[in-house]
Amino acid sequence: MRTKIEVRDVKKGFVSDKGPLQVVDGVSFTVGDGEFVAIVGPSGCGKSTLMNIIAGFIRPDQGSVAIDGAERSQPSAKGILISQQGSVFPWLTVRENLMFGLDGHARREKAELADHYAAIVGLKGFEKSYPHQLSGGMVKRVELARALVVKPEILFMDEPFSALDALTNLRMRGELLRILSEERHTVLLITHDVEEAVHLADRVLVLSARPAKIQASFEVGLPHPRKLTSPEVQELRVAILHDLGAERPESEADAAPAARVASPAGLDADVVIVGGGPAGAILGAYLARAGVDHTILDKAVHPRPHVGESLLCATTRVFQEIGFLETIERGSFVRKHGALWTHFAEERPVALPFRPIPHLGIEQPWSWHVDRSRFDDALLRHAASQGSRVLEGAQVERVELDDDGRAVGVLVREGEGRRLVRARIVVDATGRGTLLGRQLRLKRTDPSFRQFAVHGWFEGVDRGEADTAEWIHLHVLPGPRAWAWQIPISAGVTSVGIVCESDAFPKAGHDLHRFFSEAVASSPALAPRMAGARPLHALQREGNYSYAMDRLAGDGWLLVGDAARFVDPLFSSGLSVAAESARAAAAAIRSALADGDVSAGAFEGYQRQLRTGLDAWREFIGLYYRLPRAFLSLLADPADRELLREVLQGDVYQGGSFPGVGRLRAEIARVEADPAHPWRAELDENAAKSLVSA
Amino acid sequence: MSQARQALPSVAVIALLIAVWWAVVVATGSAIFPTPWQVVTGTVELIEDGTLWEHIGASLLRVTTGFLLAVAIAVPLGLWMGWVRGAFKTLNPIFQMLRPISPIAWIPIAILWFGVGNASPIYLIFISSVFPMIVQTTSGVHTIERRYLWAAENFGVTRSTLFSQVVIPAVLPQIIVGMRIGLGVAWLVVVAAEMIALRSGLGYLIIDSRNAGNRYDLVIAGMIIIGLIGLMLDGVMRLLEGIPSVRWRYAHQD
Repeated sequence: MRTKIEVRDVKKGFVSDKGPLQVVDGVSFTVGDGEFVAIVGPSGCGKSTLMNIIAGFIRPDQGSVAIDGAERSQPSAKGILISQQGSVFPWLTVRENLMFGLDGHARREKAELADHYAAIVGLKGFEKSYPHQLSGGMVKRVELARALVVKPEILFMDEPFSALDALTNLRMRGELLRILSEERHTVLLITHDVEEAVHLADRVLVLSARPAKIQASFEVGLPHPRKLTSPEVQELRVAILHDLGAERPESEADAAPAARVASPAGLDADVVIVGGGPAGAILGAYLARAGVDHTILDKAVHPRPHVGESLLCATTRVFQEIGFLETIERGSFVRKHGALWTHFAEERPVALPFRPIPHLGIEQPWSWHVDRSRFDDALLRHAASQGSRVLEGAQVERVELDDDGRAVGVLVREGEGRRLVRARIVVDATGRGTLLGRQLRLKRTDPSFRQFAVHGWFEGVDRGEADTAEWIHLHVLPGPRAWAWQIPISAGVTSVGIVCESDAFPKAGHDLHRFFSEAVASSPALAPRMAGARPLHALQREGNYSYAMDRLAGDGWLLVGDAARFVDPLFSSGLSVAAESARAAAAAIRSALADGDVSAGAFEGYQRQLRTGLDAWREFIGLYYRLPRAFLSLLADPADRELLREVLQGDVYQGGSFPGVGRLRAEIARVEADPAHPWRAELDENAAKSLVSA
Repeated sequence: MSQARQALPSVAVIALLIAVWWAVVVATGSAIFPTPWQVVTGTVELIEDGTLWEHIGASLLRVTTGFLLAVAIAVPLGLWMGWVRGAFKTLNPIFQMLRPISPIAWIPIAILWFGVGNASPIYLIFISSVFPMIVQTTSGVHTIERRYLWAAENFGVTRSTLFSQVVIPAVLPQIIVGMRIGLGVAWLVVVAAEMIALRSGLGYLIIDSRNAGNRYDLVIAGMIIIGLIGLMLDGVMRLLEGIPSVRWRYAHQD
């Protein structure tokens, strides 16, 4: 094969505020005539700079680029650059854009040629439209057509499809391959998306982190069309990812998000999990380890922010089972050795140091506080590494049901249209988005717990006594059902949040900061802790409306995590519910698929098991709010503390009678029965009502 | 329907203002300050004897001439200053210094140079509207995104194509913004200029009505007409924002 592009020892640096910055450090490679070469590398590694040098827009400090043997110093129409942002002129119509680069033709000929290429990329009928009237994918087609119409010998593509939604991206890849099979071009593609590279290219070069250097080269000796779920493609993908990640094993959370993609053909699966948060990711990991064919569709692109930062000891079993424990330990999350409660009217705090849970195989007496954006990202990537097919940025509109109400798949938005992804079982792990809960009207909000939270991350929070500094601290506040959390996220960062009744909560436009400071000031324990605190970002607010679902499973569908139920986060139960429901769902799905019966009946056991745990949480929280002081007095007693430990460490999913809950119920009944009891006035009527309705 | 509903509060406020105005004039029994009805009859009087159209025509002619002259100078100059760095460095400080000088301050010099005919106000209008348009055009060129210039370079188009299909259309929305500002200022200035030197125009109408017999009904009629015409002129300029090839720059309405 004749050499088309030769890159020789290219180096480039910039002067930044922090001194000189080497961006590209001695890159050399060649691209053959008609060859498709992809360059992958971590984000911000200098890929785009390298591309701009090769395309002739930037001069290298050292080294040279030769096209057809002649050194190149400026861009030319021989090689057209297509970048992530795109450069379709917004002030020209589609036809005018396509005619832009054509010269030496009569106007009529130009227009005919332009329309011909518009038709090739599927834009027939849009010739007179302006770009702002088109979707993102269509504008990308305009850009591709505008490049092709001048018959360039080379296409330089710099993250060409990265700004598109996941399915449009996949469709554009298909279009590109189809066009390349008809018109031969040399293509140099730069991408962070390993699967895109393996999907399209003849050869994949791997760049190191900045300064960029080529550290490996892979031949993709597979014929087109390539099946992305085939073992060969996956093997190659894993090998390339390994090379990419090998540079930075210590920070897995920053590694290329490209680790998880899927092909349109490969989306159909036995199980489709909607939502890639902890519930979806853990279920994915369980199913992957069991060899169940499944796909995770997530609307977000991780990492993404999320509140709910504390784990419970009992959940550790789940992480052990899916092989994730090591990643948590490596991830430098803060260990949580216990929980500490303060009450605004009590002098002394009450402590619960965690203990191992031998019957669950949990030996360490701690759990973790986690930055959820990092944690959830690592968890989803773990699922992908176990074999989950993950598609990020996929907007699921609804679950598709057949005439008998059986779930048969999900409708995913794709550009302007929709695509049906088929599945035998659909799992709703959309969290508080409650996809199925809304669609099937299963959702019942809990009238007594209509709460709001205001929270943020702070520096300079005094975490109190050294031995409990890294515990979770919960401060009971004077208002009805009001409390505050204090969670150490890292050595210097503390998450602090206020939860209260929505009636007491500032309405839109009111001063969140004032509300927050007043709530902090109302706690004699928290106020001095926050004296020197500096917020790291604006305060966030969100609704904490508790809800339950009429059913947790049906014909061909299940709910897991927050999508199944949301309870007040007072006892850090959120991730516990996510993990345990995913665990139970995985078992139920395996046996349902093995028996060939995915009807509602097959998930009866799952519903029962999950309800046991959820109801325990719900009752416990209701009892707590009925009289927080009763809970604290029991916790202060060594014998009662051991009864409560089971629930407080999250061990509520194995069935049983939960003696701690019974003990608290009895204690409150005692106060209720005693007209002279000093705490009687503190009994919360609302919480009592909620117990009845539960 | 919804448009009518949106206009309702402002119509209500105007009605209220007129009512208060009327009530105050009646209550104080002012001999000079007119009631709204007197303003209406004054306006009818001006329409009937035909002088209103003469004044409006004179003012509009001056504004149009001065403004078009300013456009003809400002757009090419702004493009040149935006594209050629040396031109920007040389001329920008001068323009930045001239720009904040109120057009009113130029009146004595305008009279000295151009006398008391039409040329003086036209010059003032030119001076007042040329700078905002130069500044907008220049900054329009400076803010063309690099990716578009790179694309033009990539396709190796001729210089004339580069200007006619990339630079000018990319700057056009900014030029239109500059024209809106320029015309607004021009209309402000023409009235002020006419108050001083001339024997025609809406500014003259106001001053003359006051001087010749305290006809405050005509003063207020003139003011209201100036306001309405200013609103109309701005509306005309806003129509330019609807041209398809500049729509990308403004809020998407499709």
